[in-house]
Amino acid sequence: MAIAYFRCMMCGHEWEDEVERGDDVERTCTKCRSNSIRQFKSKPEPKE
Amino acid sequence: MGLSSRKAIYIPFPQAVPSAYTLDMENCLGNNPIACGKCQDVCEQDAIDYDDQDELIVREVGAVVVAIGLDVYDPTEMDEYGYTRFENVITSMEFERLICAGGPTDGHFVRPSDVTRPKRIGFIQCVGSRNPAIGRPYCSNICCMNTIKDTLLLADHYPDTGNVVSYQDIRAFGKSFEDMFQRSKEMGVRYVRGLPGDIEEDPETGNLIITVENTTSGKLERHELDMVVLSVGVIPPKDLKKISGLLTLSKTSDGFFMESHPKLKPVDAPTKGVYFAGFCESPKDIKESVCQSGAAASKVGALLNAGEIHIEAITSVIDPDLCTECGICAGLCPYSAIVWEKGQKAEVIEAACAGCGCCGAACKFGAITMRHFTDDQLVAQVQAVLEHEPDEKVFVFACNWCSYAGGDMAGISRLEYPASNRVIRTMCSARVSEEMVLEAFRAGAPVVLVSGCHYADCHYINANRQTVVRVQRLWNKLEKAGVRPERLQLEWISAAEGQKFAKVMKEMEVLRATVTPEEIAHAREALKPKPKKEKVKKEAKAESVTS
Amino acid sequence: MVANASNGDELRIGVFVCDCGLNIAGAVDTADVTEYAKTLQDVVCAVQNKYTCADPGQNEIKDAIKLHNLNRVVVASCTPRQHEPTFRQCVHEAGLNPYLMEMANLREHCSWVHPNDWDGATSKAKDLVASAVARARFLQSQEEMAVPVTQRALVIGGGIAGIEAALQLAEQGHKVTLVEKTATIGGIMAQLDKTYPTMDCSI
Repeated sequence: MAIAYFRCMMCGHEWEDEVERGDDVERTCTKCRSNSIRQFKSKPEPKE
Repeated sequence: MGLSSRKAIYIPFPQAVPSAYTLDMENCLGNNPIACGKCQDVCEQDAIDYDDQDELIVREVGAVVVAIGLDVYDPTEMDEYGYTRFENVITSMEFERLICAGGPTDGHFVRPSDVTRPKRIGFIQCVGSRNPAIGRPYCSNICCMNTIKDTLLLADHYPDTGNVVSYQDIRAFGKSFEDMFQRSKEMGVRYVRGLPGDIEEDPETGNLIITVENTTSGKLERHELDMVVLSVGVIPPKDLKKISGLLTLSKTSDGFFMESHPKLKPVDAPTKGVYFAGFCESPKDIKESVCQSGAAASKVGALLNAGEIHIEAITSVIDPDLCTECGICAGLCPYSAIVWEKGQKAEVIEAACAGCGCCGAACKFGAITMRHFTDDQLVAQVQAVLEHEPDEKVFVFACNWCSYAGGDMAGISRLEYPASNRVIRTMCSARVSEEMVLEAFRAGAPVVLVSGCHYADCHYINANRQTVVRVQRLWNKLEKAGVRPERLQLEWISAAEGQKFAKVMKEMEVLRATVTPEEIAHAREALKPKPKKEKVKKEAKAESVTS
Repeated sequence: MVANASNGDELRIGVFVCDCGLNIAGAVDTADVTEYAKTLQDVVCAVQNKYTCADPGQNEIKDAIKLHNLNRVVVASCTPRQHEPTFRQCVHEAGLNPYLMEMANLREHCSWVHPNDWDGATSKAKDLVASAVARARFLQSQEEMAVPVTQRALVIGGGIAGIEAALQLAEQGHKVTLVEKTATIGGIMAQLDKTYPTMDCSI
C-alpha cells in the first residue's frame, strides 16, 4: 500500500488515495466524472 | 423460495429435467455412517456418491450462444411495500408457485399468514421497473401481461375473488394481448391507474390496506385486501459480468448485454462468433425469446456451415532488420502473440494476434507495422485534418469498438454536440502512440482527446492500460515542455454511451475555447522532435521508470 | 517501413460522397464536399450519390474504378461499423483489393449530430473526407488469413432461450454443448404455472 496523489485534468479537483502496487482500476473524478486523472507519486505543486 | 420444506436429497420439482435426485451439500450430513448415509443404503443403483467432485470438461467450440436469462428483482429494499415485513405481501414469482398444482400447496391458493383462501387480492405493478429512484428506469416488458394472466387464472379458479390492479400504464402490445386485457376487465378486475405510496397491515387480521390516487378519476381510493402481489420486475443476471469478461461483451445502460446494432444486428454480439438469445439481451417474453433463439441458432448454423472464417488483415508485422531485440513489445502484448527471447528478434504469431496495435505504438524503433493501421496512415490523417484552421478543432482518437461506436450511438440517437471535433479511428486506444499525440499538437491542435473502452470492456483484454501509461507520460512531457497538460484529455466511452460521447464533446469544445493562439504556437515549437539520439535515450529511461 | 502505398504506381483515388437521401444532404452541403474532394491530392474523380450503398451507387463505384483506373476508393457515407463490409465487397467485385477502400463517416459522426449547423457540419465533413483520402494514399493490399471453424457450438444457459437455440442447432445437424449452472434445465420459465397468452402450462 502506498499513497498516490491524483488530479483531475478536466476540473482540477485533487485528492489522495491508497493504491496497491499493480492495481487495475478505472479512475473517475468524483466531482466532474472525467476520466482524465493524472497520478503523482508525491504531492504535486498546487495549481495557481 | 422458502414456501415449503424439502429434504437434503431431492428432485427440484416434479417435472424437472433431468428427473434425478440431487444432494444439497450444504445440508447433507455426508457419508459419515454414524450421522447418516441412509440414501446410499437404499439406492439399488448405487447412484449416490458423496465424494463426487466438480469436474472440468474442456470442449473446443466455434460459436457461442449466450442465453443466461435474468434474475428476478428482490423488492425487500422497497420497504414501503413491506415485503418480508408483512406475511401476506408476496411477489409474483411466489404467486406462481402458490397457484401451481405442483406447488407447495398442491394448487390450493391460500395466503401465508393463516392458510385461508384470500378473497380480495391486490396487484401492484412496476415493482422494480420504470423506477429511476431505485436505479431501475427500464420497463421489464413482461409484468403487465403476467398480472393480466394471473387475474384470469384467479377468475377461472375462484370466480368469487375481487381483484384490484394498481398500475402506471398497462402495456399489452403483443399479438392477442389486448384481448386478454379486455377479458380481464370484463371478468370484473378493477384496474386503478396509480401506484400506492405504501402498504399498511392490520396486525389483528393480517389484512393489508393500500391507498391509491386514481389518476384517471382524480379520487383517492382505499382498498382493504387479503393479499397483495408485488408484480416484480426483472434484472440482469448476476453472472452477466463474469460472462461479459470471458467473452469481452458490453452492457447497455440498463445492465443487459449490448447487441451489435439495435435494429439490424439484434442477436449478434460485438465479439465475432458470439450471439445472444433471450432475456440477457433485453427484457422479453417467451415468444420473443424463442424467436431470438431461432435467429441465434441460424446465425451459428451459417457460421459453422461456412467451415472457415477470414480474419481481418489487421495484425502486426515485425521487421527483423529494424528490431533491436529489446523485447518491450513482447511484454506488452495482451495475447502473448509476440515471441521473444533475450538476444533474439521478436516475432509475431499471426494467428494469435488480435490487432490492437499496442506493440506498434510502443516500438521506439519503427520496427513494428500494424497492418491497415500503420503509423504513416494515422499520421497522414492527423496532418490532413489539421491542415486548415487547426485552432478551431478538437482532435479525437477513438477506438473502434467502444468510443467510435459511442459516437455512432450519439448519431443514431440524434444527440447534438458542437461540430468542432475531428475523430479518427484506431482499433484500440493502445494503438495511439505518444508520437501521434505530439504530432497533433505540432500540427496546431488546441485540444487532443484520447478515448477508449472502459476498463471492463476493453476489446483486447487489457490493452487500454497502456493507453493510460502513455497519457500519463505525455502529461509529464507536455508539462516539461511548458505546454498546458490539460490540453490532452482521456475518456472512457462505451459503445452504449452516446450520451457520454455528446457530453464529452461539449466539454472538449469548452476547453478548446480556453486555449489561446499563443499557447498553440508555443506547443508547435516546444514539441518539435529533438535530435534522434537524445530522444531514444530519454524515452528508454522513461520506460524503465514507469514499467 | 513502407513510405508510400503506391509501390511506385501512380495513386488514383476516387471519392464517392453519399447524400443518404436527406440523412446526410439535409445537414451537410454534399455538393460542396464533392467539389472539395476533387481538389485533394491524387483524387482523380469525385462523385455525389443519392444512396451509395444501393445498387446504382455501388455500380457507379465499380464503373468509375474501370473508367478512371482507380486504385484507391473513399466512400464518404455512414459509419464503417455498418457498411465497411458492403463497400469492401463492392470494390472487390470491381477487381480491387478490399483493403484499398476507406470510409469517411459523414452520417453518424456528422450530419446526424450537427443538424442545425450547416457550415460547421460541412466543414467537418470536408475534413473527414480529407482525412480518409490522406489515409487512402497509404493503404496497402492485404490478404486475410482463413481459419477453420470448430464444428461445435456452445450454448450458455438452459432456460427457454438456451434450450430452444440448442435444439434448433441440433436439428440443423450441428454438435451442441448446453451448459446450465443449476441441477435442472428450464430456468425461470419452469417456475411459472401458466404462461400468457395461451394460458397453458409452462413445462
